[in-house]
Amino acid sequence: MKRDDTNNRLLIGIIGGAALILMTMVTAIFLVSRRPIVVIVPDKQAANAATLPATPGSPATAASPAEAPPPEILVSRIVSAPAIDNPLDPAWDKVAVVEVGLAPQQVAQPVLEKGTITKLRVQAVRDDKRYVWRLGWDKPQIAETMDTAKFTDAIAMQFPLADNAPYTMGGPGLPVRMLYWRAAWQKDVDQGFQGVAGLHPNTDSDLYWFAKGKSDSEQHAADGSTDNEMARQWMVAAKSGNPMADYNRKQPVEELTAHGFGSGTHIGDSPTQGRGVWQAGKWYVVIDRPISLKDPLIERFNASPDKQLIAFAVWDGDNANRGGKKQITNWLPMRILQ
Amino acid sequence: MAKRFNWQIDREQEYPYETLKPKRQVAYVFDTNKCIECQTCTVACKTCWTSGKGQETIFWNNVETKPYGGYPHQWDSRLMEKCGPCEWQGKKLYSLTVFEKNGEGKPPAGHLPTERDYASPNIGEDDLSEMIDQGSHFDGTHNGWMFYLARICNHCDNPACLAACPRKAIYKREEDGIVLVDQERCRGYQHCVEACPYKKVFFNTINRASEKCIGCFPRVEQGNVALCVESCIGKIRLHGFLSTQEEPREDNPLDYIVKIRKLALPCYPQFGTAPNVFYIPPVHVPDPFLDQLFGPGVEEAKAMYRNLKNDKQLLGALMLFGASPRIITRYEVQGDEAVGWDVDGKEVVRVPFTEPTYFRKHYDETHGAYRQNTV
Amino acid sequence: MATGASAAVIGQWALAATQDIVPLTIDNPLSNYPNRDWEKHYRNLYQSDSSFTFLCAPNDTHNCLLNAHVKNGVVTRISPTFGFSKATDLEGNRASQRWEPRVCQKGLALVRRFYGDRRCKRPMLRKGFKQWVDEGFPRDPQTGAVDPDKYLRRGRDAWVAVTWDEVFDYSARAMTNIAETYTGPAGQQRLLAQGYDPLMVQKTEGAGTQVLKFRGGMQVLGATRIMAQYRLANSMALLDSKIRGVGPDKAIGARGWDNYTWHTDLPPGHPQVTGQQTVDFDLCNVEHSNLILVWGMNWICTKMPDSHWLTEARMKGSKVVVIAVEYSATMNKADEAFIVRPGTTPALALGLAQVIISEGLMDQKFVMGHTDLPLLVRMDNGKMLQAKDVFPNYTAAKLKNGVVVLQEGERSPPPHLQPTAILTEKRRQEWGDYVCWNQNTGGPNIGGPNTGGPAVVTRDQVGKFFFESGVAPSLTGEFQVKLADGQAVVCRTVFDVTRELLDSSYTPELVEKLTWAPAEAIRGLARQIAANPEKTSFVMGMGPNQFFNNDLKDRAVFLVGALTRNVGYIGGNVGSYAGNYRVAFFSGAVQYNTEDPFEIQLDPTKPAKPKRYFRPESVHYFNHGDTFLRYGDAVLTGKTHIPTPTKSIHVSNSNSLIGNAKGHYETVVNALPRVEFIAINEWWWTASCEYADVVFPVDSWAEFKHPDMTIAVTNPFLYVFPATPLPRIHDTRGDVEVAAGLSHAFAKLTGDQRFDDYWKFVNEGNVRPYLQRILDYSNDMRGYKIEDLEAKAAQGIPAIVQTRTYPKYVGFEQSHEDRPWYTRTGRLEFYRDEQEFIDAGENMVLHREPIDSTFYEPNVIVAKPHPLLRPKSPEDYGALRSDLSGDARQARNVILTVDELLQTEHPLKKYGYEFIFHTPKYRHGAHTTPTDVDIIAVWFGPFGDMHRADRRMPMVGEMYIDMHPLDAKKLGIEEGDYVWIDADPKDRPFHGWQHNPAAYEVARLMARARYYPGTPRGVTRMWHNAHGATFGTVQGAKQHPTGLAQSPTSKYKAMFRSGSHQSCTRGFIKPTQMTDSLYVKEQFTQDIGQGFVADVNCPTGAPREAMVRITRAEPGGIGGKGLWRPAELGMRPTYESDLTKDFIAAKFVKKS
Repeated sequence: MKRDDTNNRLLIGIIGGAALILMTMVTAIFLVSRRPIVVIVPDKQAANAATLPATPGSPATAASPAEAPPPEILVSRIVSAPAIDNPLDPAWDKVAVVEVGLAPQQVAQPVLEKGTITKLRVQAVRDDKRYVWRLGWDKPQIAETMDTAKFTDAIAMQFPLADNAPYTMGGPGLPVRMLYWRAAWQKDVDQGFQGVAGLHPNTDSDLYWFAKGKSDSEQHAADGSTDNEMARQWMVAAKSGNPMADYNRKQPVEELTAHGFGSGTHIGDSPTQGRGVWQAGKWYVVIDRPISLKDPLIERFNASPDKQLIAFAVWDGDNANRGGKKQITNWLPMRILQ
Repeated sequence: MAKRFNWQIDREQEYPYETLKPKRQVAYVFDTNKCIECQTCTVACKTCWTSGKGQETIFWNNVETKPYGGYPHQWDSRLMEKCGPCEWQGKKLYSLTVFEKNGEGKPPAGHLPTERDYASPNIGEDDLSEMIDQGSHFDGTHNGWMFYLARICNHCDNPACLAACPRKAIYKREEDGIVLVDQERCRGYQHCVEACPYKKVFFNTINRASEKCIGCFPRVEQGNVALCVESCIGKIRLHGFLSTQEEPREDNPLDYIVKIRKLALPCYPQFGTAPNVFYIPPVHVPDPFLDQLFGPGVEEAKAMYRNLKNDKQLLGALMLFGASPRIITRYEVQGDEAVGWDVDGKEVVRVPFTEPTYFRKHYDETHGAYRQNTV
Repeated sequence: MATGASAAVIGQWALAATQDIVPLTIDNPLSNYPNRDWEKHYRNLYQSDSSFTFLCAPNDTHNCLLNAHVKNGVVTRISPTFGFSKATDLEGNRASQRWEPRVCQKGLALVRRFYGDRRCKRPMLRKGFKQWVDEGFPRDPQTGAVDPDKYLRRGRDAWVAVTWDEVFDYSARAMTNIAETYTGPAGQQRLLAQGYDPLMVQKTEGAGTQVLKFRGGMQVLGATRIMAQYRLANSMALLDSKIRGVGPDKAIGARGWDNYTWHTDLPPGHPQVTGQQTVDFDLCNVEHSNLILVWGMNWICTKMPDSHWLTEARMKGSKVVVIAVEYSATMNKADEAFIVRPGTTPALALGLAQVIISEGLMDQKFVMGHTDLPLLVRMDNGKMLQAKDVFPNYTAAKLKNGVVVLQEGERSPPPHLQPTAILTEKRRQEWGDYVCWNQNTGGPNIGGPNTGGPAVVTRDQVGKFFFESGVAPSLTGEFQVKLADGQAVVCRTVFDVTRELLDSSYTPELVEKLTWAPAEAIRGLARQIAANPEKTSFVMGMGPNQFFNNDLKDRAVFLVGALTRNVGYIGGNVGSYAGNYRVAFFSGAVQYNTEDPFEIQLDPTKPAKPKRYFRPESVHYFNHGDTFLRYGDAVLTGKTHIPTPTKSIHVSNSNSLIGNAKGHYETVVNALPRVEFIAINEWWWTASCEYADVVFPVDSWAEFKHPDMTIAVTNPFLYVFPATPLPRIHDTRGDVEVAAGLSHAFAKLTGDQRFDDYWKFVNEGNVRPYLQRILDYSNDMRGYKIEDLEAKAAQGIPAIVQTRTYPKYVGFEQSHEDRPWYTRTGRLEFYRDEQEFIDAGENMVLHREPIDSTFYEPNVIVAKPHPLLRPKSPEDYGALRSDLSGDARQARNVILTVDELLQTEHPLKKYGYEFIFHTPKYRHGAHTTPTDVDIIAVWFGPFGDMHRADRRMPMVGEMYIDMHPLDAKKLGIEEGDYVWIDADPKDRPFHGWQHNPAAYEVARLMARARYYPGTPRGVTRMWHNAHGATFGTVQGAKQHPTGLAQSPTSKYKAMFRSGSHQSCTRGFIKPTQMTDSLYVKEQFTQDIGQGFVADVNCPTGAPREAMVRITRAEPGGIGGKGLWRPAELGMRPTYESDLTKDFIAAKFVKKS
């Protein structure tokens, strides 16, 4: 079976189930947390951080007037958006920066007890072909390897695909779309897949079945490639088409849809591109979304450019962030300038 | 949070999901008195299931020496450090299970090992609990002791890995109770690795997803025992099913040994996952460590084992160990033989309590040769 | 980077992403999981295309028929066949499912060897060797020696891949040149000029073929395949006849090296007590015992597939007693356990005997009927009293019981028609008859305290036949016996003199001082043994056997067995377990390995005519610097044992000769440079291959194209290696094809067609006629047809050996049917009156200290003075009493009492050589198979690490030394540190290491220190199974980017950074095992021989002995910084964190 077919079937299955997934999740969340859920007050550093409402996922509207006005993300129009192969392109210096406050995710289990990243710097531009965002945050050192108890830095942008989609990864029949970048994937793309030898250079294995070696008599050579179906038999996740097990990653960005916590679902062959670089204690990640009229996300952008919403999540690999252990924002207004 | 009764701790306990019993539950009995730590089980499993790149340090099955051994390092003591001492009153557990420890609604109590903790998989091999002296002499219970603990996934009734997965990518098969990590949906969060008290879920470094012992389901589906059981030359393992929909059956060797006679005991029942590998405790080891490891009933089990020669029905069940690669669902003692039938009701085992002896003539007329014992 | 995919692509993608979708529900993962399609990938992984059966047969005494599962033409997985319970004998008797399964982790790991990078893949020549041949065999004009620096740089040279024709041609030419060079007086002159001992040179009798040595490692493991080496040696007579121009009458073949004795597997006291090779029994028999003594044997590690018989016997109520020098793995299956001082087994057994006798617990009847204890020994000369000494014109009785006496000119029947022991009339006369003191008769008694008189005891009179004779022997007392020549001599019974020795020197209190075993526990054990006649098994391992006093150990243990009626019964017997040795199960093998090369039987249906042209020899002499034992002015190696110089070596299945030899680096550095040709048949590149000139790559067990046969000494099965359907993975051939190919090269060189005819059936691609001949002429095989056996084996089913009993046990005929043993008296003999034994002070059974592994003076006789204890002193031999060097110790007879001994100390103790270093075998390897496979090595002890975080690690697993934690601390050694381990600097790791830094860098033993609470103070242990360092691995570790100790040229991997466990051992040879006068049953047949008999009466060495000094080399932390992590984390003995302490003390459980 071809890879994309598998993925579509996967997609169909999982997106479809989203509603019920969410309901269980929500129930689960209430069961999980019998204690009253408190409003998390943003700390001083994140003065204008989004306020996370008590209910899991407030409707897809900007935070109510009662609260401090959330910062607005402006997508300014320029003739030609900076190319994504250089996140440090001087062109970005001319683009306005919006600072967004982050708070640890503490709505659904497993929660992030204590956050380590409080601020995110957001820039966004568009030309007639692409939307490009540049996201920056402080990070003393890089976490870009994945191993037992080792996790990667990452960031995601989230957009509602339906009105009233909760910021908590959407809800039943209220899907969201996410664009998700991982430092580990960036490393795969920049330096080649980070395999066993990359993680543990002194490893010595006698053989890997059907890994084509230097000669026929060494067809199982440990230094051979496992890029073939016979060798893949022992790599069941890869064989099952698990997007995590991609040994030939072309993009550091994954596109997902979700209908609630735990339902994040990979969308195959996304045209989204991105690149992240780390410099002097800061990450700079650009994410590029080509414009297509058939794209449900772009359709929403075009329908009401000045009434868009966006939310962010940031993962600190050095603080064992992964999955629900992340710093997040509520929905923030996003205005696309024509 | 649902409440469910856990027979191993004789009380109700918290668990995120409501009880749904599989049609039958795959289960194992391991006799520690027969284990020789040869690691044949380990290699049988490794060569079939985990020979791939990214699985170098992954051994779904391992055998370790207690008290100094542990793969990964200190998998059990680190959890006990978190949970504190367990408290038994008779057969009832009064301390908290891993599902209750962190407070309601929190993930199960656990700890996440590091990559280094999977090095030295046979650390502590044969290490004695105490330093011996020149001329040490042991009689009966050994005051310096060690024994072997063979370990696989327990395919628990209350799997902590399953409870901990926010994506619900871990499930328990309704037909046999085998617990699997969905290799298609797992995103490698490692919450299961952290939650499993037995550390039998592993992170695959190149798949960047977690994986675990699959209970050899492709074999179980065909009525065959797991590879670690089939290859066990110590004949320490019996693989079968516990009855879940009916009362324990006298003629089901698993029910009989585990539920009816209670000769074999669960590993760390105090954690509350209701594991399905049951151990016959080592008779030469002092009780306290075994109480900590196997919970209530150690003394009784050891006495029962010491008395096997007068306990033919139970001895018969133990003679089935290693006799056949088929799963035995029914057995009987007939005279000096133990007889076993497989899932299809076919007789697959007829094993004598003592190997028969045959005598031959010195001169074999049929073949014209003198036979010798001293050649 | 491109700025976005084309609109078309996006279009499709967006369309796909917005399809209508069917909901998926995960309500409760305890049931109804919706996404299970992926499970099929595991089903596919499990699926194999086909499977076939092969036999795994390292020298581990088991042999397992295994299933190989094939995926895409590759064996990716192995499993047990469960065919043993279908095994039947010729009468249809069947084995039970108790035998299942038979397999182990080492066999399962073979898949990684079949396809591993260290396979011998194609024929290889060492560069320098090729050059020597190409340059026309240049030699020193005076001595004929080959320039070692130019042509013999073994282990350092490059390798050249060649074709099979080339490798055979080079080999045959080299061997021919060597044979020619050392033929005749000129050849013998050259050998003398090269400094070989004149007695050895004389032994060649001028035949150059006598310096060619062949060895098939443990020949019983391959009836045609490995035995082919001896057939090859026999065929060298053709070469001799060509070179010397002599006929079949004068031609001499090559020399064939020993196996069972070379491996120190023979319990040398067994032939000394029973007159034949070994007493043992199938291990399953212990379930018939009430009391099981597992003595110096780590059963659960070295007898894995039979471990369940022990644990199940215990489960069913037998008591298991384990005696070992540490808390061995097997001790965790013990009901009672003794931790004793290494090498003191003779003393411990004698202590048991003393209690049994002094407490009157012995079985009088068995002792009277089956032992020499009632027979009289002369106090004047220490000889057994002979009937002809006493009774005028005495003529030896006609023997009828269990013996065939051949009259002059009569020849032995073929093996399968030999009913019992076979004696020549001449020998029968030499033996005469013996005398006891009969209380029922008067006879020529000249008074004294006793009534009665001497009575003849013939060899027939054993067991019931003895009692039918109406004799009532005295067991104790001193008797004045009037001899036929009129003189009177004082005689005492063997029992009486033995008892005196026991009571004076081996009381429990004295034995406790020697062995550390508590006196009360010794008494308790002795009483238990005596309380269980016919129900006590003495399961003796190779631990005590690998000490220099091993024959005394056997004699003492047999004494305990005999005193308690525990010899020769299914539940009561003595067994010694080491090596798969009993080649006599293939007694018909003489049809194959000694077929007359001058009269070859080419008709497959007709029997061959055996004639032995090759001469057996013990490797121990080669291992002893290619010398024998001289001491002072004495030669203590019997004439029948003297070896010839070794100039050419061709071995098969034999890594023990070089790669894992005792004193390995002595062999490599000092012995090999005098050897001109070394060829090795191997399928996995071993340390032996590292030092070879020629490597013949052979088929692995999974690739056999010719069937073969073997047996197992610990189980009752007859095994066939089936030919397999697996295509050869590399350019390999079968061992028999190598022999045939080599012979073909000889045929071309000599023009002698018989070299080809000798392997006719191999050349025709069908070895079955050879196998069938062996079956037809073997006592316990005749009746089986090779085709049937093959067909069964292909289904994973072995056959059953047709011994008298199933299961088998030696001694059945003697104890149940009152047949005599293979001794002169027909009894179990506890007194040896041969002059060599009297001179060695070992005519009686006593205790000698180990020759090196003792805290006290080595190899001294520990006893109080005794009238029959009259050894030759160093002075008698013209040697210095003060010379305690390893060589001198071998023949040094000094007597000390227990208390005197305890005042002495090992000569090197004052220099810090204070630790006993022993090297037993462990669960992770059958010798070195397959410990260098990653998934085996990583489980071998505590230092495995697949990721090799510390690049100093030689591979993913590495060898270590087990030390008592307090001993290590005393030396400032932390656990995990690398340490140096040095033995006697006089001869180890090799003579002259001081002047050879390059070799010393490779040879000096370095390993990790491991804190091991289970070993007593002063006793250290390193496992025998690891692959030693070679020049290649030491160089590799320096060059390899990750520091892997792998030879860049050969790919050989070591588990040591430098040295090996054999850096500390050496060859030792014991005078009592090199006698010319001892009578023993021949190796293959029932014929009684005298003097040297390979694998029966032959030196065994002392490979487990070494006193070492241990010094810290490097810290154990990664890269040599700080503590080894597990110690740092408080997980290790003496490093325990509070958590570890509480965990072990069970502080995490509260009961109320």
